[in-house]
Amino acid sequence: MAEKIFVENLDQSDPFNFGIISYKVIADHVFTDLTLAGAVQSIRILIDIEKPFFYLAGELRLVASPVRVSDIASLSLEEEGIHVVIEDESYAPDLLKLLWTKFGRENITQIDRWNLIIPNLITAEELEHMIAVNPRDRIMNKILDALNRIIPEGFRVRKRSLEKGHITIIASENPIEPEWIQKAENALKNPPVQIPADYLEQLKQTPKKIEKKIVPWKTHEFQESVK
Amino acid sequence: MSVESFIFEGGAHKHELLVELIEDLGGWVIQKKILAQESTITFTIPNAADIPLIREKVLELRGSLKIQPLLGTEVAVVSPTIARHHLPHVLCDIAEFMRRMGAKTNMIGLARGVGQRTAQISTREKNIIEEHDAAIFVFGNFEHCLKEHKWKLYKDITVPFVITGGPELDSIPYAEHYVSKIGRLPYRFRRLEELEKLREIGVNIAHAIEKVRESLERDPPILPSFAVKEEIERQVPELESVFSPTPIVPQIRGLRIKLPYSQFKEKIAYVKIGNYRLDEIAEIKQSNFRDYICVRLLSKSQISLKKN
Repeated sequence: MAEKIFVENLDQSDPFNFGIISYKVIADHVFTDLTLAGAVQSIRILIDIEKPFFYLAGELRLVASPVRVSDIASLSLEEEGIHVVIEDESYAPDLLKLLWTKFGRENITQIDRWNLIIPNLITAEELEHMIAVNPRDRIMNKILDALNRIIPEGFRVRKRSLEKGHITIIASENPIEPEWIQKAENALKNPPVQIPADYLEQLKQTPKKIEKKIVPWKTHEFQESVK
Repeated sequence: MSVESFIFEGGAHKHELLVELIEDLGGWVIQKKILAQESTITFTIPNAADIPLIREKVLELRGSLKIQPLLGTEVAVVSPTIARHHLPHVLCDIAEFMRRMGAKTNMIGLARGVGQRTAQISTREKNIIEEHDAAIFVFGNFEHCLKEHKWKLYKDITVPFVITGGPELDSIPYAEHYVSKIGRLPYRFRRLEELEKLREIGVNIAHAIEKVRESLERDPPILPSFAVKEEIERQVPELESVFSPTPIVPQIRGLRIKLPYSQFKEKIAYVKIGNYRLDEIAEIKQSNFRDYICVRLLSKSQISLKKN
């Protein structure tokens, strides 16, 4: 994941200052925490802290196709109605939500965790083809959550655009001026620059040698030191 | 009066011997917790010359003894807001470490501390922070923010405070103590060198508090807050039904009593301490922090002025 995220400073006088390096670490951690490595092709973050201005451009990879009822459950016709046996329980809440909105909550009989009876209002084939859940929505929510965690909290003036797997978020504290966006877009035309590894080393603090010797209290040495 | 503070951890069997010794030396037991066969006792003794006696007794009881430099203080750990961006990792680590050094910590999230131009602190927040003995402000990673904007939040605070932030700087405006490399971090502290940083904050806070103690020494209150605490506990039985682990929090200049002010202000004021009533030797007011009672001990000269 680390090689997909690029954090750059728009102010070129000090391109790799502490804030920029730590933002790279924060972004890496957020994406690995939420297990989003597969859903993202690349993320470029451009920061100008003095304006202040925060520009995030991401290329997403959303390929998962919608999950239909037939993928989650098996159906059979009974006397009382259609008998639904849930096979993949992780999608059960989505399936129940769908059925409740379609047929009303009182019409669905839930026998146990896996077995449902629904009235004969539609045919089993129609039900099988219904879309239970769209994973794309789920992943999109997760990605937006991740980006909200990365963007500084105080930057409340935000502009968001999402088109065809390309997401752009612009955030600032002051009214956003068109020149800033122009400058960021110009910078996006250059190939992304990864922060060199030796700068990332700066965040790691060097361990100090501990001079104090720890003496267990049972030893003769400790008994002597008390006296 | 130099006060030495310790925590004893060991078996509950014969722990009374230690408690008796502390009382004989004129010290105070702050908190005594007995859990099954284990006992944890935090205490102070007034004279540093008596430490070998204590160590010998602890050795006899086969327990452990640790110094608690911040015992008897209340420290505020302040973050710009309580959102996910700032809060869990760094602040919890700092607060927990201060607790292990003996302080009672409160975590405070400001309402509008975020951003640069928009960062602000309200009077009520300021008053709450000033009820503590010291404060730790945890800020972010950008040098520009720390140098140009964030000082608005702590400039007017009168209690000693330590600022932490990401970049390594020699100094930041209006602050005496600054600890670097503790900014906005997305992980808990695990490594040895990170613990070393926490220790640095502790040393800074202890240094700041030591200065306050020194200035207090010139004109001290007639009794230290530990003694007043003991007396209040004896005379106000309602404290036993308070659910917080420390119903009375000792501070350097006073106490915080976790009872509702409106109901108990008179009862606390009439607590007898030697020849005095508590309201003669202290100022009793409502805390900004919930409905607690805040007791500020007056100095000897103030008491004599009040008498005349």
